Amino acid sequence: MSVEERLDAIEERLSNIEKHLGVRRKPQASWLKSWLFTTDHKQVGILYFVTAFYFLFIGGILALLMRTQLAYPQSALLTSAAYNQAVSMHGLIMVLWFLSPLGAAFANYFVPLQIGAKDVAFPRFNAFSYWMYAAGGIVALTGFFVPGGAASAGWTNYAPLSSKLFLPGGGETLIALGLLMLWGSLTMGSVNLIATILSMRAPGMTWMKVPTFTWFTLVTQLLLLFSVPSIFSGTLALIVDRSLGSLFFVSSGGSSILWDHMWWFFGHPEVYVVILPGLGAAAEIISVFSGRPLYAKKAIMLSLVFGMLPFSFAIYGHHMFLTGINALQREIFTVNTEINTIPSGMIVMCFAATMIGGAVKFKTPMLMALGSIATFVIGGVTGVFDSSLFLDVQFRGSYQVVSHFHYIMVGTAEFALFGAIYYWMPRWTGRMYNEAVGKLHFILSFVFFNILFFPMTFLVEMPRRIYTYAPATGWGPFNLIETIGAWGFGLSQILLLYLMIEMATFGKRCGKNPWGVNSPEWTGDVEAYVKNYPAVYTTQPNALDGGAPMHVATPLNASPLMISAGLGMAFIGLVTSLPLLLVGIVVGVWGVANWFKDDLYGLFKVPEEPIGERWPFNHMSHVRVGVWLALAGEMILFTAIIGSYLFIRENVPIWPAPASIHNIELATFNTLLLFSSGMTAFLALHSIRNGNRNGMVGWLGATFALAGSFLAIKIIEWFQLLNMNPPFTIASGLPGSTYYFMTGIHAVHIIVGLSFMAFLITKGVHGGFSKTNHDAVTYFTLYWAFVDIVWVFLFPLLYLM
Amino acid sequence: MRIASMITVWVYILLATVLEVVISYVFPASWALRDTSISVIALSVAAAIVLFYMELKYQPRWESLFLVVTLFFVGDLILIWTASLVH
Repeated sequence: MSVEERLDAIEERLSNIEKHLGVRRKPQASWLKSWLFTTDHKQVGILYFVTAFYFLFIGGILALLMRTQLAYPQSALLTSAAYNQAVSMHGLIMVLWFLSPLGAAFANYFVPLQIGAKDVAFPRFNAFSYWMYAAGGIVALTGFFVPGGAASAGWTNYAPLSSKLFLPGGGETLIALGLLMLWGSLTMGSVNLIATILSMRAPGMTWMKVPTFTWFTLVTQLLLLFSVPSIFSGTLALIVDRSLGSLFFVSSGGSSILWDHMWWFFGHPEVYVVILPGLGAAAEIISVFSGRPLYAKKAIMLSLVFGMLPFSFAIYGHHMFLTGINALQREIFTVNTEINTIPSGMIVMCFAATMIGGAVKFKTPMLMALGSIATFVIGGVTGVFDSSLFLDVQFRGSYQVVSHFHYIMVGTAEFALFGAIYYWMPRWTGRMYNEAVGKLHFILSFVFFNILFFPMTFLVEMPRRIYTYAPATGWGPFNLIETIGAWGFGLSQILLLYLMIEMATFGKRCGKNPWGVNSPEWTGDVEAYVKNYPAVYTTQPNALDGGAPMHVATPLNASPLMISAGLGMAFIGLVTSLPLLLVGIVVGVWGVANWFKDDLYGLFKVPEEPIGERWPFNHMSHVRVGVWLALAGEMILFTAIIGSYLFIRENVPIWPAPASIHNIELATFNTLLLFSSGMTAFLALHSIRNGNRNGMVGWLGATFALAGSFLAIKIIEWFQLLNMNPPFTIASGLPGSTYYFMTGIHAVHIIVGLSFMAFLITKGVHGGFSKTNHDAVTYFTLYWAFVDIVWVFLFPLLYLM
Repeated sequence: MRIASMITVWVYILLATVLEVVISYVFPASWALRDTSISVIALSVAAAIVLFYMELKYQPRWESLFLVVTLFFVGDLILIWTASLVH
């Protein structure tokens, strides 16, 4: 009897029981509701997948518009302004709203299945990540419909081009707001997936048994966790520059170099974020279709963790060779970049060694994986040229660079991820694609891709981002060939669309395991996944044959969608209309209130995970791991903020003495209040650990009062500064800009802490905590101590030095 | 952890903060002495909070890994950003 027939039989028996008892079961959620409110990792993965392709379509159309414009000299299809918008939005959409999320789609769907977890560590935050990503994309795209058009400062949003002086329209502000939502989404997503991999592995799933794709995902998410906070603070500063008149990126003190640091500290690791999920999938595909285990898996993991991960943060300056950073740093960045080719080369060599002596089957996923590796080698070789300081001076800003990064970002990432679609989609749907059409898709894509990007390597004198050129330059024939390649590459993807529809609807049934893979995600029933009944894995052989226990799917929840939609509407309203802003705020606050309400009354419950492999964090729950990861992200955020301040101080020769502006005595008193609140927060924890519930509520109340007083005094301080003569405002100079920015972000953290305390006090009064059940109080204490530590550095920097 | 230890740490944090303020008044023009000593005190206060309020001192050693790894990237960022304009 098939699983489908067994499920039907169970359904019939349940109906009979209903009739017998005279009761009715709670009706299942509607199809739409089950997708909008889902928190199930597989559905969230599919949502990412579909949305990523929506953004691919838009980004692809923009690319074709650009290429058509450049096909002939002096073409008039696009104006210069329209071309700038197309090139900027194409880059942002393709990198941030298509390529990274497509990797996230596979990670969401397959990582829990590969490691034997029932779901990700924080399912509701997982849905929240998705909706923030989707809503952020909509906010960004709204720029096309506002006066002045969409963002047009390039995908890097370089300052001061991105300032209000040069781009006064709303598009640049909207892209910054959309990006801010995306950064939030990426940070939550990274915390979630890392915590899942670190602390929710099934019994027996030791580190060396963890499948390759999950390893690559872990490193990808670590890169995001440590890189995104830098650009989060940069984007926030850009928004404040544009909306409140601060001077971070428009003065010589802050300058474009500060933005470059903030952008590329994220931007270079982002390259690895884009390619690693694809390479992880390629590793699995090459192993499966070579019929051999991955060669030197341990060496690959070591090169990822100790090579690519740290080095990607130590080489990003090669994007800044011509900005005026000092000579020693330029030399170090050159050397580091060239060293970083070692782990990349090692991965390629291990893939090649896996195939040697194997029985290689050239199915479509394998062809795509090989295409990915081939383009990775070409992109890598051209990248080595660009890493050289003196060559980069020549190539900088030319089409040679455009060719290089498209070989990496499009060739390597996209071919590998297309391979992943052919490899894994039959697992989602239980249906196979047409192999001949799949191979045709690969051949056409690979040929047209190279027709598109290879000629660019010769255009070393053609500047990027120009919307037209003179016939006398001789660039015309190259550009015409590239445009033919672009249209061919774009149209080839119709085959991919057809095959995806085939796999989703009318393709041949492919059975449990069409590729004969031993990896854990393949060991369950296809039907079980299609019908969204999560299976529990162990790494013990044949565990499923005995009938693995099934448990209920992760519950539905509306809050993630409501908060994201509210925030998206508020951000669009901020630029376009006040009523929309107000509606957005109401919807968002309603969503937050519902989230807290669910927590207060325990309405959102996820089934308990059996404890499995957690080494080296055996003593920590997945929530505690998540809290520490979130704090790690926060540390980088404030480091970027403090780093910006130090950069500015170093760059500005004259800085007013703090005592000439600030009331030091008041600030000192306020600091002592905040530091005392750290003590009372700890006493609250100490009380509940001893079973003293009233003591806990009392000490939390004291913490609330101290923190509230700190915030009130801070607001008084701001008013005094704004009313002094001359006024000390955010727009009055860099001292004002940095002061309000830093204290403002810290104040937001205080407000979050106050909300958290209000929740804990309410729950405590209602008897929600006990001697053995007080994890939330512990996590609050950790958070509050962190808020104290931030002020330990902000206070002397802003008031004493 | 004993309450007495916590109160000792709290008193240390308050005194250290006051000491920072005193130093800023005593050496207003000597940035090397002032900034170095205040930075050292601030680092010691942060360490005290991490060890005692965040209880890292009392947790299994592996929990420190989150902090140690993050500090690598913190150091990397500060070093590159502050040194990039020094010629």
